[in-house]
Amino acid sequence: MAMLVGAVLAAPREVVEGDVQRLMYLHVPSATIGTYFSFLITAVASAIFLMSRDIRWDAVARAAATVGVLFTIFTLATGAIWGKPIWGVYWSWDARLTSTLVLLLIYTAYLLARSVAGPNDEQAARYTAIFALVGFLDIPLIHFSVDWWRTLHPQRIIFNTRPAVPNEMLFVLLVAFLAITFLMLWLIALRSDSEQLAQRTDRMRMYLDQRGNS
Amino acid sequence: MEENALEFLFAGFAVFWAGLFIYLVLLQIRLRDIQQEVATLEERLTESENTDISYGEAINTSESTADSTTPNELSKRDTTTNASSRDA
Repeated sequence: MAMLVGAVLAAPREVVEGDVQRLMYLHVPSATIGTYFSFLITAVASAIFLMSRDIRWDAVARAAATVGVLFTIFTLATGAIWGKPIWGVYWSWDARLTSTLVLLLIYTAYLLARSVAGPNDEQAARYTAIFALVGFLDIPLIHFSVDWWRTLHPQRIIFNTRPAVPNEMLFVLLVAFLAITFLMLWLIALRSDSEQLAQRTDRMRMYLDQRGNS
Repeated sequence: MEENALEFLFAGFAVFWAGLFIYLVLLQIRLRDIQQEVATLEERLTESENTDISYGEAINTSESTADSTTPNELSKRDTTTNASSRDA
């Protein structure tokens, strides 16, 4: 809510792009915090799972991947809506947009592959954990795509040594970053709890089935 | 560039809030399904005629099995069963 009020009321109006530029307070935190950090949590949890073989880390990885996919959809959707009045098109096959779409497809495939197997299927969890780690390599590609290739998407203006936006905008953006960080962590915690509950229920079902068969 | 882009601003925020709302509703539905499954399993356990241990012991047994061996033996057995049934 603070982010919404800040973006619509407190932040100054950008002179060239007008009011639609206020989508930056949603688009940039969704991309950097919501997408990058969610998939970073997925990659870290997958690595811990591969080392420890504790299936609960697989639940954390899946939860973070689900939230990451959600924020990637938000990023692409708000970017497309922002792009229409500025670029004249909703979509362009430039490096930044395409690599972000590829990221969405990678982790959607990860979630689909993982959901086919049971919550406690360790073999499926192992394979998808490796897939999640490899998929994470797309994120540096997305981040540096605007430097490496000529793109319609603008260059980085925030994550530089000298941000190219005024302090009033930076302050609202900071509030938006905080809001999206807390939202992301809350969503991952909720999802992780439900995934771990599903794992326990599945173990309980298997236990009862085995008792019934014996 | 289009002059009046307020509708695009509104659309962007609407997509975000609507998407978040839909996601939370779907998560709530999933949690309700899991709770129903827990209730069914509870019922199965209490109605089991051959039971010789309590529900609490069963939960503890299940959890300790999962926690002490990583990955837990049950899922291993399940995977092995699936693999052998595929081979067959």
